[in-house]
Amino acid sequence: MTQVIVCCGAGGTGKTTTAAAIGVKLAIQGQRVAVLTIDPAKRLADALGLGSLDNDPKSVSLTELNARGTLHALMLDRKATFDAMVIAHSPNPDVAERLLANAYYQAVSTRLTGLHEYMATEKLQQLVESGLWDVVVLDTPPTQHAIDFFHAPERVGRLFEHGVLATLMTPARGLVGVATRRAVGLLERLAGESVLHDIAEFFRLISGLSEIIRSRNMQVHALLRSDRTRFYQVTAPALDACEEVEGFASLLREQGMRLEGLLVNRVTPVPQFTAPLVRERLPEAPLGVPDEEWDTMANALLALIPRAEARAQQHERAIVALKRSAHTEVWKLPELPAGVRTIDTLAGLGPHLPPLL
Amino acid sequence: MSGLLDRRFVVVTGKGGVGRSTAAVTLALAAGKAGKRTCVVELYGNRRIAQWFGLGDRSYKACSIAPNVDTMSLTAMDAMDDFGQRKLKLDALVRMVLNSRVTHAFVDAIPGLHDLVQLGKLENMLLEPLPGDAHYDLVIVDAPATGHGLTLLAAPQAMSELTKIGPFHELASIIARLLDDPKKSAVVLVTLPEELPVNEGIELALGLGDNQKLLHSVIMNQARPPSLPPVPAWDHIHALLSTAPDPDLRELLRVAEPFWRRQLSQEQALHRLKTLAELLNRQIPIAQLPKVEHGELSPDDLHILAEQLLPQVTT
Ligand SMILES: Nc1ncnc2c1ncn2[C@@H]1O[C@H](COP(=O)(O)OP(=O)(O)OP(=O)(O)O)[C@@H](O)[C@H]1O
Ligand SMILES: Nc1ncnc2c1ncn2[C@@H]1O[C@H](COP(=O)(O)OP(=O)(O)OP(=O)(O)O)[C@@H](O)[C@H]1O
Ligand SMILES: [Mg+2]
Ligand SMILES: [Mg+2]
Repeated sequence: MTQVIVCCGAGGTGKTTTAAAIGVKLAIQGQRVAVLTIDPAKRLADALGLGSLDNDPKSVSLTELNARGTLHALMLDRKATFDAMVIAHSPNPDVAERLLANAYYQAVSTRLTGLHEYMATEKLQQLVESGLWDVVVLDTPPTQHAIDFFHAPERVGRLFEHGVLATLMTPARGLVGVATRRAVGLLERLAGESVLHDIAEFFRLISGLSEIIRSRNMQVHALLRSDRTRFYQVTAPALDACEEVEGFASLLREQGMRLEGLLVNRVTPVPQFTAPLVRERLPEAPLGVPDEEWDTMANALLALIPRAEARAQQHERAIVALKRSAHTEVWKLPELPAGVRTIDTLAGLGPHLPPLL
Repeated sequence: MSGLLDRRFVVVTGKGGVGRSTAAVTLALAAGKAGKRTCVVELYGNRRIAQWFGLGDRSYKACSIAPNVDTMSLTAMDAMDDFGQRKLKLDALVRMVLNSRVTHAFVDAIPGLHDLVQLGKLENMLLEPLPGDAHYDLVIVDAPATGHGLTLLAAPQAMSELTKIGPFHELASIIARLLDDPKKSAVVLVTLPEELPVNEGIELALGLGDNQKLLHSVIMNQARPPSLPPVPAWDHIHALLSTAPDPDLRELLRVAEPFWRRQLSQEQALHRLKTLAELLNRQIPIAQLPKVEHGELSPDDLHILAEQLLPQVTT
C-alpha cells in the first residue's frame, strides 16, 4: 500500500526542498516515489534535471546516484486537477461540459482561496489510487499559517459536498426557512440575480457529483489520519517560530494525525577546530593572489569564525526551544552553502533526514 | 523612493516569509517619523505586528504603536459587517441575516469577496472616515502571501467579472478606482537577497497585470553587509584550503563558504532586481532593510530599521 509523507510548515521554510530531498533519499533506498510539489519552483525543476514540472509525473534521472528505486516529480495544476475530477466523476458528459462552461465554475477553479489545498488532496488521492507508487511525498502550499492547509480543503469540500447553497438556490423546494429566504433576498440584492443564477446552476450540477465528492473527502480524511501517512513539520531554526510550531503540532494531534518529526532546516553547524586558528597557521598566498589581498582576505576569513560560532549557538538555542514546543523528534538539516542546485545537493541532505523506511 | 510616503494607500506584497510584515510596519514607523498619520493593517485576523508590539487581542481596533502610527488587525467578517452598516445602511436586524450561516457559506464561496470587503473597509478609513473616526494620511496594508489563489489586488477585477450589478459590483468599482490612480496607491514588493526569492518576486511583479503601474519600489529585506573583501580570487582560495593537510584549514573553508555564497548571491540578487526597471521601462528604486542579527525582532529593532529606511524612502 502506498505510504504518504507530508511536508508542511510556514512559508519559505523549505517544504518544497525537503519534500524533494525526501523523495531522492527514498528512491536511493529502492522505493518508487512520486513527489507532488505545489509551487512552480523553476529552480527545483532545474535541480531535478527537468525542464519544467506539470500535472503529470515526470521521471527524474538518478543514474549518478546508483538509486535502486525511481523518482517522479509533478507540480499541482489545480484547474487541470479540478477539470479532471469533474470529467471523471460527472454522471454524464453533458453535466461535465456544462460545469466546465459555467462562469462561476471558472471563477472558482482559478481563484477560490482554499481550492489549491483542496486540489492538492484530490491529486494526492489520485496518485495513491493509481497503485504506481510506494511512497507519495506531498509538498504543501505556502500558507500564512500551516494549519490553513487542513482547514481549507475541508471548508471547500463541505461547500461542494452538501451544497448548503444548492438547496438554498433551488427555488420551490418546499421547506426553505424564513431565515434562508431572507438571506437569498439579501444576496440577490448584493450580487445581482445573474450571479445567483450561475451559482445555482453550478451547485445544481455539482450536486450530481456530491456523493462521489463526499466519499472521496471521507477517504482522504481517513488516509491523512491513518498510519500510512506521516507528517513532518519544516521550520527555520528561529525562536519566534516556536508558537507556530507548537500550535501546528497540537492541531495535528487533535486531528488524529501523526506528526513524525520536526525538520529544522538551514541550520549552521558548530565550527569544529582542533586548536585555535591563528593567522600564522594560514598558508602563504595562493598562486595568483597578491600578498596584500591575501592578507586582507585571511583576516576576514578568520573573523568569520566567531560569527559562525555565534550563529550556530543561536540555532542550537532555538532548536532546544523548538523541540520543547513540538514534543517530537527533531532533525537538523544543514544550510547548504551552495544552495539547492543539483540533485546531488538534494541527495546531500539525505544523511540528515530521518531514516524514513 | 521619493513620493512613496505621499501616497494614501500602500500595499506591501511578496511571497510567504520574505518579511512583508516587517517591511510594512517598518515603513509605517518611517512614515510616522516623517509626520504622516499612518495605520498599518494586517488582514484576515493576522496579528504578527500586533504581537511584536504586545497588543494581544486589542488590535482588532486601531491601536497606537508609535507617535502618528496605529496598527489594526482586520477580519473579513468585521469588514463585511461594516460594509452592511455603512454602505448598505442595513439595520442591526438585517445585518444579522448578513451574518447568518447561510450568508457565510455564500460569502466563502465567492472568490475574492473576503479580500474585497477588507479593501473596502480600508478605502473607507482613508477616504470616507465617519465623524469620530481617526483620519489617516496613509494606510499601509500587509497583504497576505501571494502564492496561489487570488491575489489581493486582483479581487476587484474578479468581482467585476462575476457580478455585473449590485453593491458588490459597485464596491469593486470603487476599489478599482482607488487602485487605478498611481498618485494615490502604490505597491511595494518585498524580497530577500537570494536567487529564488528574487526570481519569484520579479515574476510576481510581472504578473500584476493592470496593477503593474502601481509597483513603486522594491524592499530587499535581510540585506547583509559584505563579510569578505570583494577579491575575485575565491576559486584560488577554495583550491588552497580544500587541499590543505591541516584539517582546521578545511574547516575554515566550510565555515567561510556560506558567507561567501550569501554575499555573492546578494550581489547577484541586487543585480537581478535592477533589471526590473528595464523590464518595466521606468525607475524602480530598491531599498535595503538590513538583517537584524540577534534573532528576535523587538520594537526597538523595528524603530532602528525604520530610521534606516526613512532616508531611502524620502530621497
Ligand atoms: N538547507 C538549505 N540550504 C540552503 N538553501 C536552502 C535550504 N533549504 C531551502 N533552501 C532555499 O530556501 C528557499 C526556500 O526553500 P523552499 O522553496 O523549499 O521553501 P518552501 O517552504 O517550499 O517555500 P514556499 O512556502 O514559498 O513554498 C529556496 O531558495 C531554497 O533553495
Ligand atoms: N530584517 C530582518 N532581520 C532579522 N529578522 C527578520 C528581518 N525581517 C524579517 N525577519 C524575521 O523573519 C521572519 C519572517 O518575517 P515576517 O513575519 O515579516 O515575514 P512575512 O513575509 O510577513 O511572513 P508571513 O508569510 O508568515 O506573513 C520573522 O520571524 C521575522 O522576525
Ligand atoms: Mg514551496
Ligand atoms: Mg506576515
